[in-house]
Amino acid sequence: MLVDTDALEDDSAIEADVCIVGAGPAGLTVAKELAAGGVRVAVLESGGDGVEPEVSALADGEIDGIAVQPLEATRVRALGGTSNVWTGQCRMLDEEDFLPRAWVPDSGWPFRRSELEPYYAKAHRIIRFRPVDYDMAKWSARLGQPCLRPSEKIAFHRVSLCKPVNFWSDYALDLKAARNVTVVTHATVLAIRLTEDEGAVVRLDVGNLRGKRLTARARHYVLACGGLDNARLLLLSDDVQACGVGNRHDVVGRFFMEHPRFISGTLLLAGLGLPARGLYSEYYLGEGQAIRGDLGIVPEVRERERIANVAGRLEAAGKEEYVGGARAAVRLFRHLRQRRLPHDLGDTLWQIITDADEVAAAAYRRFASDQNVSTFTVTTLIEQAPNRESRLTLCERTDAFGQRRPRLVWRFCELDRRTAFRAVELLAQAVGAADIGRIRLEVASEQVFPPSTEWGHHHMGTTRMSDDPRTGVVDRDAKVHGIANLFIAGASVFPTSGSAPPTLTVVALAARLADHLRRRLAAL
Amino acid sequence: MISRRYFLGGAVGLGSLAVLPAGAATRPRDAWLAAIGDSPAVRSVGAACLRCGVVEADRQVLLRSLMTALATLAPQEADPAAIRAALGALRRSDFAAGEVVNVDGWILARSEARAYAFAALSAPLA
Ligand SMILES: Cc1cc2nc3c(=O)[nH]c(=O)nc-3n(C[C@H](O)[C@H](O)[C@H](O)COP(=O)(O)OP(=O)(O)OC[C@H]3O[C@@H](n4cnc5c(N)ncnc54)[C@H](O)[C@@H]3O)c2cc1C
Repeated sequence: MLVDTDALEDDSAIEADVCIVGAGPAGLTVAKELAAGGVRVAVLESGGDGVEPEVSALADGEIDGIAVQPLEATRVRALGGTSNVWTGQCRMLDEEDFLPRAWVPDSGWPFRRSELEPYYAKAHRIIRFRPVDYDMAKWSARLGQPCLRPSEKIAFHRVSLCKPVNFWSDYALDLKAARNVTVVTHATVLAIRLTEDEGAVVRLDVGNLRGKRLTARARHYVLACGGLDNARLLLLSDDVQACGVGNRHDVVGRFFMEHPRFISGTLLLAGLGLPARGLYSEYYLGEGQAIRGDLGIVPEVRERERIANVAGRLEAAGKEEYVGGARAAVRLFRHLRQRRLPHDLGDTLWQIITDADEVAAAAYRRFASDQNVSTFTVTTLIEQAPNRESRLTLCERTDAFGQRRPRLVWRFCELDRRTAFRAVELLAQAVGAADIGRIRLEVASEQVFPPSTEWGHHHMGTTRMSDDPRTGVVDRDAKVHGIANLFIAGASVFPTSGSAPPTLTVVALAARLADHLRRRLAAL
Repeated sequence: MISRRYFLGGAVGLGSLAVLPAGAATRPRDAWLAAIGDSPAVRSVGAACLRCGVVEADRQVLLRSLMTALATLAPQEADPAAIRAALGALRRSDFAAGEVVNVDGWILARSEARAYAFAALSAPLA
């Protein structure tokens, strides 16, 4: 069932076995998995069906660190969450990402990748990837597309599978008809209320922007508000535990990690070059799916060099960013590939029509660049090391509910800088050792991140997972330490981020959490 | 700054074997120069290596250190193709071992930087 808070009585109470806050990939995966098992589920979503500026503004806040986009521009508050705009690139974390590494402080997960493997398989099915194959050599042979052969002693290929599904319209739409599920729109959770002994959640306070106030009660609660808002909501709920729910050890909001990326080099290839739109760009396979190859540094070399995980992306040089109407046309094209229309179709078409010159020029450039090129831009994306000082806090400015806005203090440590600089040097060695070509560095020194640095919109780590409450907010079951019935889904639980885009792992963890909750409910 | 065009012709293109003038093959210097590539592109890259100070600025020292590194090569080897093959193997192993230098941002194997510098300091083949 889909219901809007406007249609509910003021002060009414929503009741369920499991109450999930947020209808993005994480929340919807938990909801779907539980719904299939007959559990009574309520999903509380701050937004509605489509982007609304006044709701989006709730996510705004301050950033202290490298200037990237405003916070509200990096998340979507609507059914489907940020999957309304994501680019759909997916890859599993590496096995090594789960292990503690002596040279990366606070690294490692409480379990190994094998624990997640059945859920990764499920996540691939949920996103409907077919085939699931991460082997570049096989793709190269299957598609008759060349790939590089860098020195295996230093570098290796990574493949990302790409399918920008919308988790609401492409995956969870049947929840509308499910009798045991209530999806409530324009339901912003304002606070988590605890029992007197602080050991459990007793209810959630919910509001909409028209002044309606409700409550939600359940046996179990799952926060799935995204990598920043999960921590924000815990910090905002400070009436019983003064520093916020689950924050006895001052870990909530800390260890914020992103995947900073920047242009780090120019690769000049010997020989005939590579197709500009080959396996290193998004190579379209049909049925809305594409693949893309990157380069990684082998784990032994990373250990020897004492650097974190990285991915090196290659893009045919001179391939310009799509701007204006051309960018709108690419978005529309991506949606059509998924057999759907963007929620802002009118605006999109208007941008395309009023910027027809740019659309035509971009189409020409794309067509003209469909040939072999020998110069590629190298973009390095690094795993940011866990760092207590990189954190989300609350600022004094408030949102339309009078709630304190988030303030993100995004910090890098010496290891991040070393990784950023050394990774491209190692890639240069890998291509040189194989006589593929040479790389010219575009990063000047280890001291600073280059001005071209962007983030991946991957917000991780702010409610990290650890068996020890002093170093983590949730335990290995994603339950908040010290609170019997509060769980967290999303990349905020990642204790270590690797270099893979997070959403596939978010979905796998959400499916795992649903299994856990089902078992707990069955035991009651 | 090394131009990309020169770089393609020099380092990445790895030149083509220069044609040795008749009778020159007996002189090691000429055989080495022919193996490295006696072209404006190679010299330009070599000049940049020297300017950046990442290699010795002495032709004899450069040649000697290359010869020493190529222990598999007979000291009097004068066949440019054999020298070139040995230099290629040395260059690849330098890269693999991290024996690299930074020349105007380009990451080069130390041995290839030496080879280009040697070419830049040598008079062209007659
Ligand atoms: C431009 C862009 C491109 C991206 N590309 C990729 C990619 O290629 N690959 C990849 O893996 N990831 C990508 N991401 C990141 C990806 O979108 C996120 O990892 C993913 O959406 C996280 O899912 P989630 O459910 O945890 O959070 P979200 O998708 O952010 O969903 C959270 C939901 O919670 C709701 N909510 C928040 N606060 C409250 C509250 N207090 N009460 C009620 N509801 C609330 C929000 O409205 C939202 O609907 C991209 C992101 C952006 C912005």
